[in-house]
Amino acid sequence: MAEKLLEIENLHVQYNTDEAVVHAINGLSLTLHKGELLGLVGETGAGKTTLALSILKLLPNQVGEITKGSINYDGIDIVAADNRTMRDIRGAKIAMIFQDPMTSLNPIISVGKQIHEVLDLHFPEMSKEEKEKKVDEILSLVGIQANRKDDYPHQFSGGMRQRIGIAMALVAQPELLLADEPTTALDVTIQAQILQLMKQLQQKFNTAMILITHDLGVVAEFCENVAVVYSGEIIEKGSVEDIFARTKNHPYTVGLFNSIPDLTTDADRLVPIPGFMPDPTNLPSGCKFAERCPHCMEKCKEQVPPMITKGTHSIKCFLFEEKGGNA
Amino acid sequence: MTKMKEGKKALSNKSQLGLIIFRFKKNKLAMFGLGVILLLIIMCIAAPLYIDYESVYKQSMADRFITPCAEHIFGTDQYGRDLFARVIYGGRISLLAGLIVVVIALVIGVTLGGVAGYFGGRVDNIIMRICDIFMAVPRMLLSMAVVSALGQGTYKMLIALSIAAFPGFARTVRASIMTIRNQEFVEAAKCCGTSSARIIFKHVVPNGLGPVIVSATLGLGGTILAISSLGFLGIGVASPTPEWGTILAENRTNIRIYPYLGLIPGAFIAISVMCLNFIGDGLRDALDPRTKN
Repeated sequence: MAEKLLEIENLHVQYNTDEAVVHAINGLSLTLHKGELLGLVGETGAGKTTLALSILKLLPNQVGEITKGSINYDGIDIVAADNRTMRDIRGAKIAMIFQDPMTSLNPIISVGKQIHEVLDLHFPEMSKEEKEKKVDEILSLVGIQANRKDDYPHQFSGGMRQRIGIAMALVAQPELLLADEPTTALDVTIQAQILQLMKQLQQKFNTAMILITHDLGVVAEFCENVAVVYSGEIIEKGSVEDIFARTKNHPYTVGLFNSIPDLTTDADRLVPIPGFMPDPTNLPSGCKFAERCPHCMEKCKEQVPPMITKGTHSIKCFLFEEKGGNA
Repeated sequence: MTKMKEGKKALSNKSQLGLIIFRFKKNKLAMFGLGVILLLIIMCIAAPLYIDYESVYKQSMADRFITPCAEHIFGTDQYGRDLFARVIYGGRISLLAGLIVVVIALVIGVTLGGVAGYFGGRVDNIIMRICDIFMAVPRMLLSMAVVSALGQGTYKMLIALSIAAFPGFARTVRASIMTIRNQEFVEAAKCCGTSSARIIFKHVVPNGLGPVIVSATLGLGGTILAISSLGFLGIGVASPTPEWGTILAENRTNIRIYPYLGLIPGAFIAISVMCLNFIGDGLRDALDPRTKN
């Protein structure tokens, strides 16, 4: 197996608002290897974006706080790192692609200059001509004609802007790319193109990538490994085959599968998961999914289930403890 | 690649400033305003070349109330002073004073508004509440109060008007800084490893500059009007020093019989304020890259 790149250990993140303390991430652990493509799936509010921001240490000042746990990136302790170190990491080692390409580019700076700026920040010794060449290169790699680099963001369509966002993120050739729902704001045909492009470039540069999404179809098609996030913790993870085989899944993942249309079964209606995610200001003490779980047992409400691992597949649920014991 | 570059429209090769100028030039009304204002400014600056400064004050009872003619193109007033000389030399004071007030107010306003907008929280609260106190009193009334506290005089009037004008600028700057500070491209810049100082000066401030420049230009018109109003009320620039508002005030009693005495200085005030507003509107459109093409 490849070298470990990112290791998150028992991470707890909370937002201290005036009204209450919001527990956004609760004991999340994650390991990412060099060049790995991990899909992070979960519903709105599960803590996916918070996780991305924690890795970059860009949680909102004074409000967001890492209370417990560690994030280790290639030997650097992110939780303890100072501002200077983080600035050198952001953009150069870890880059991010944003959800909405309409707002993530500066409207008054030409796109070429915005990409150029990343190089200015991280390669001060590089000559101007060299930087220009790199900008042209990365633009043609993402499928934008290099002669359009003097144009402004508003002169591009949404899909093209997302390509520019990708170019900006990749120009310094980071080792880790965080893509926060990069295709949610795009229409379906463009989605496929953008994902294809990201995967191509990811393989070309051998970049590790965390693809944050709520679209299981996207994950099945593009990722190697999947982690399902629920209420700030990973409740199931494994390879795409492990999870999409649908033989053994966490009840929540089963619910997710049931709530998307399936061509092979004949159903009139989709089956949504009843109820809502627990209130992050007031979390249950046991399994966080217990209230919505069709297989809920007494102990689920009191104890946090352990992570049960079998090969590459891990599930955080008591159901599999017994089965695992019997088998 | 180079061929493609050459084949591009000339427009795209222009710098940011070049593009703004290009867009501004397309706005006919704004260009007209700019032309008139420049003409006025040149006429005022070059005044000593074609008008003797003495004729501004030289009284002659024999030459009272001459209607506009070849010798006195704007006629003369009740003391036989040449109105053209007075209006042109008055313009020097009105326009310059307006500019000084706007610059002072802009420096104070941008600094306070920028600090308040970027840091937020308690700093923001303290600064903006101070501005609120100034804004609670109508601008005209506040400057009148300051003038009466400090005493009459051109410089005191400038201070008074600056104090009355800066909270408006502070608000504009703060508002634009605050909306930009929270936009995603600022977050994106942070994700690229940009330092705070660079984010403020390269990403936040340039994005917020448009409304500030526009409100400064529009404010200049308003300030010229305010100076004239104070002059008209007799608490601004003191007679016999010529200033458009003061000239109007001097001739107030004779306007019914000799309307040109009021119409001419009035027209200078109105035209300059209107042209400044045209320029301000033109700038607003030119500074917004979305109106490009």
